[in-house]
Amino acid sequence: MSKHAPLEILESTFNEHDISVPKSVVYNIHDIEMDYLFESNEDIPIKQIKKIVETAVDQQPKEN
Amino acid sequence: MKHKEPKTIGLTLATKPNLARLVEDGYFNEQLDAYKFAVALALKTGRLADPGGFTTIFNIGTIDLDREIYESVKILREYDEEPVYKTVERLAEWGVNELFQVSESGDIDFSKWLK
Amino acid sequence: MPFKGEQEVVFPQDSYSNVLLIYADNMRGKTSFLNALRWCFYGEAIERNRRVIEPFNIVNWDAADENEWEVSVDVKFELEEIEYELVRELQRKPMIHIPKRSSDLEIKVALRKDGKVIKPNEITHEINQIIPKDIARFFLFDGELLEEYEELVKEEASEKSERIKEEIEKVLGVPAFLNARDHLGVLLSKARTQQGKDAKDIKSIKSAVTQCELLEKQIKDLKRDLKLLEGNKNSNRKRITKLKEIIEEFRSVHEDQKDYEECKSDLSKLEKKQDILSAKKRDLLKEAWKDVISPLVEVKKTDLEKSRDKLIKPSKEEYKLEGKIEALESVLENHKCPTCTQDAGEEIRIEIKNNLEKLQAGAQNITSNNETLNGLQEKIRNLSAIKKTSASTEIPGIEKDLRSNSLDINKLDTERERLKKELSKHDTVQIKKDAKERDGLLILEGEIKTNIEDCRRNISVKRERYNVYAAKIDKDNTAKKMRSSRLVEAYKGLKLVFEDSISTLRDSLRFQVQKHATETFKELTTEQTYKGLKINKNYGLSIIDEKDREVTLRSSGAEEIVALSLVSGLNLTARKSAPIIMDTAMGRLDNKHRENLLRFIPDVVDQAILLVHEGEIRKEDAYKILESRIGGIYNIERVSSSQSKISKD
Repeated sequence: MSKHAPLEILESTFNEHDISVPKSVVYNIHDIEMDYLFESNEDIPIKQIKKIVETAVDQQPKEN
Repeated sequence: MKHKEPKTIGLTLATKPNLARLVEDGYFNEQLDAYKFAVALALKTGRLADPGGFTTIFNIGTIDLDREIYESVKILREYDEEPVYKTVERLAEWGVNELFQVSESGDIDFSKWLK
Repeated sequence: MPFKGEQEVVFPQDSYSNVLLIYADNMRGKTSFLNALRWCFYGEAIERNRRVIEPFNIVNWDAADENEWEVSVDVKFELEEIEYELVRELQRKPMIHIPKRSSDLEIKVALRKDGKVIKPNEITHEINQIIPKDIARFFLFDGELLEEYEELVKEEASEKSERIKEEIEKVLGVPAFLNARDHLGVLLSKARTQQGKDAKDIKSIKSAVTQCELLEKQIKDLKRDLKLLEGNKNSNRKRITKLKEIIEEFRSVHEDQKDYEECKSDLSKLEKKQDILSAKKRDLLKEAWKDVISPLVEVKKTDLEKSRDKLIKPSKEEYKLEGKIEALESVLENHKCPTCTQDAGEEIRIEIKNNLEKLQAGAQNITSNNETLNGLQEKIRNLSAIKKTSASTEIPGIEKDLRSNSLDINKLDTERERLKKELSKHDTVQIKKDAKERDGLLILEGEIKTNIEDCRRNISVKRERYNVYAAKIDKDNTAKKMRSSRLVEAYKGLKLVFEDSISTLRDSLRFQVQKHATETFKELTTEQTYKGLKINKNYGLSIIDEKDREVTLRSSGAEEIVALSLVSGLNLTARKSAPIIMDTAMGRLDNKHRENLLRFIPDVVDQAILLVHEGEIRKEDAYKILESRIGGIYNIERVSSSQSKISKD
């Protein structure tokens, strides 16, 4: 299995739903979690994920 | 040559405490045991102290009732210019000091003299 | 452990010749070698049933007998062009003379990364980045532990199979999805709170916002309670563990107490023995002066006896002479020969008188020799009375015993002092109190668990109600424009993506593992009609025959092939790759299967280290099959029943 198979699954699921942020956010979150997979420090993934999602939301065009 | 034998034997004042120490330190049951061993050791080694200066510790009757020491020293000594028991004293004087010195530098290994 | 002294193994450095063979007979140290690596990385050596081997039992017995307690494993390796050196050391604690248990020993670990020393509190993190402990078992492969994989075949979940399943999923990265879902849930909750604050002034959803706020607060309070309860549960559990350790230590205090009493008793016996021996020696020394001069006495006696013997011959002559003198004196007195009784004339009497004078002079000489002879006899008698005693035979033996006992007494005395000091640290009354406290805490633990479950249930109920009101807010057009609403939307969507992906991922990974395991299986098996392997939800693998039937009865050899296939499938599917170290993995395989395994392995892993014995695969056969893929061969050789050494072939 290529290391990207989980990403393929995430992509496929992403496409089934109407998600307001870009697909890249999903990949970034997955990478963060994989980096901390064997750690017990849960704060770090959350902080990093928060930053990514907020950045993506702020870059969205505002609805009138 | 016939000599008049003394009725008592002993050691010099300086050596007397060493004899007592050999018993206190547990090597011998009694002082006369240590004294006799010292005589034998000196005979075996061929050494003896200078004459004179000895004080009484034992009566001959106490230490050598069977005259075994007397006969041994009489026969084994190389000369007879003095009474046998005088030779015994000189042998004991050397022997007791030798035993004491060995004991001061560690435990006395008697087996090396018993070979 | 069988290794004493320094042992060195160089792993293959070449990517083609990447197989290292280590040969050893049974019970020589193959598993210990594997354990050495496991211990170096994770501080644990394990035996059957995955029980951890106590540090005390890691030390080689011969070394322990010599009071040498230092054990060290040093591993140098490279990963992604970074050079690492990991050293783990075991040694006795200061002030401990003779360790008796693991608590008398201490462990130190050091890690260098490209020469830079890593801080002690960061070492575990670094090692987890390299090859985490949870998945190490799939790379440090002990053939004796293959039995565990048989659990996975069973469809029904057991505690064991659940645990192994979790370990496998960690290798495959499933927890990353689970964690993402949970983290996004936390962030969603925070975003909702903010949304509620921002939407306070929107009339159409005011009531929903108020309800959300109220429920949010209630959920927050419940979560705080839950956190407290879990905190209590954890600290309770820590206290129970600590008390168990103390109580366990008390068991060792008991042992110490027993050892102390034994030590005192042995010491007393030895001291009594010393006294008896010393008294016996003193008794022997009373007459030992005779033994001292005994050699001199013997020499002197011999000399005297020689002198005496020289004088004995003349004595015999004296006896004859006396006879002659008597006869001549009789003639002179009686004027007659005593033999023929004839008269002795004047001339004859004069001759006889002359002879008599001569004879009498001779007799005089002999008499003085007799005195000397008597003197010698007396001396010889006196010397013979100086008899050797048993002192010369007995005293050497006694002195030897006294010296030996003295050494033993010193050792015992030191040990007794140490035990006394150890015992003085403990309060036995306190130990009993601790046991009572532990029992109380165990009951409390059960109550806390119940409270935690209730709390979680309440949170769940309130969460559902919250979601209803939250959905109302989400639908409001004014609220939708708020930044916080957009964040809520984002987090909701992302959480959903990960949640829905989890089961898909599990199915996909299982499929991938099955695919790779099947490929491996087909390489290894000699039964060409088998179609492949089928995986169940616990990652158990079943063999499928050409008619799509599951092969239910499997030999232990077949189990081994399937387990090896699973490991290979996991390695090929997993995120992490690492060298594989296999201990007696081919024990249950026949020749053909072994050959297949050996041909297959070098292409599947970066480095393979195979711990084998000649019964599994002879060296000449290994050479034939692997040829230039062999990067080195070592032997673990017997030094004694308790010692082995590793040497290059």
